[in-house]
Amino acid sequence: MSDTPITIRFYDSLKGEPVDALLHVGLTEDQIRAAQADWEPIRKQGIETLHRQGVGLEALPKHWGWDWTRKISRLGSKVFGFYGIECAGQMQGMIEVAKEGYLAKLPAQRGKPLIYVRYIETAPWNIKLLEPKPRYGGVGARLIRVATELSLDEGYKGRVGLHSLPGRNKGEPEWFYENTCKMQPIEEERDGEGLLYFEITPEKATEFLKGGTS
Amino acid sequence: MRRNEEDAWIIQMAAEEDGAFIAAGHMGIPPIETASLVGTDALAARVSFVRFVELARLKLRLSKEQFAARARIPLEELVCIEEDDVFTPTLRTVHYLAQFLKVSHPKLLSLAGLASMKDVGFNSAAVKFAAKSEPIRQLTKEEQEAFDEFVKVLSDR
Repeated sequence: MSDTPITIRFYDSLKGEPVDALLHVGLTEDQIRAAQADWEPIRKQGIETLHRQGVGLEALPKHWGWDWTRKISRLGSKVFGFYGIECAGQMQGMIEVAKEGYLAKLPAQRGKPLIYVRYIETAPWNIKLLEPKPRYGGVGARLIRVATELSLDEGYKGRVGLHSLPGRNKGEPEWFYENTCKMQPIEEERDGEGLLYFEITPEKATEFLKGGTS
Repeated sequence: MRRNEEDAWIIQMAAEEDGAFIAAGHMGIPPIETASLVGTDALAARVSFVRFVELARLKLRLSKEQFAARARIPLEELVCIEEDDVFTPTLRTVHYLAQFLKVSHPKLLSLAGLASMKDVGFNSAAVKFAAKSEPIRQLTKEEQEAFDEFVKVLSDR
């Protein structure tokens, strides 16, 4: 079930200026299948090229085998939410969140409900590692903004949590969540795969949404 | 948020994010396992297992409930196999699946990521199957052929 998309502003890196884009609130099966079909071959080819160029397995992006179509059964659930940003007729990024069942881990927020980001990914042509000149900018931040605003709407005061794929260097996931999104890492909350947990407080969420204080 | 504020925000975020790789979720395969195998075969094998089970069920025209009952595996586990990116099936379930689908037990274990298989031909067949098969609701002719071809490799004990 998809609501009417919302027009948002998005950054066209090639034009060097903001442009209109569509925020889809509640993706359809067709949209997910189309995005997967668009992204998968480019993502796999990009990662395989990196590997052939000598990038070690540990340094390669770990979302090689992601398949968004396997999440289709969760569409329409009241607990899970799917959002996507479309620009130039293609999905530029998607996020799946859980609206219930997850509680904050940071000491000051412990036990309070939050929005948990189950999956988030940007189109491979928006990732510098795979495409030296990314097509659109700020895709990940715009998706985290969606989760943060949803948290406010749900009465969770902006609290959002997620387990980031590995990588602390600039341009890698953990770096992004800590620096761009103002999220706090919690070592003790690593998951079964060893992925580091990040959470944003209501204060930092406000700062993130406001911008201008980097 | 006003348009000019929205523009200022996204310009700032685009500069800060700077094309970063931002994925969060699950890797779908433990990093140690990834590192211990050559290339992308391990990941392809995991995808192959999921697709193999799903396509086998579709080929038999069984619902998840019917398939689980006939294979004598817990329905919850079948649902997790088909839908949860990080789920690893139990040895018992893989054993019953191999029995029900009449394929090699060791090869299915390997495909499920529960054992390693040093058979280059088998790994190559798994990669090929993963590449050819897409998770759709009904088997296309091409998928049917890819499935049948892979069953032959899997059945070769």
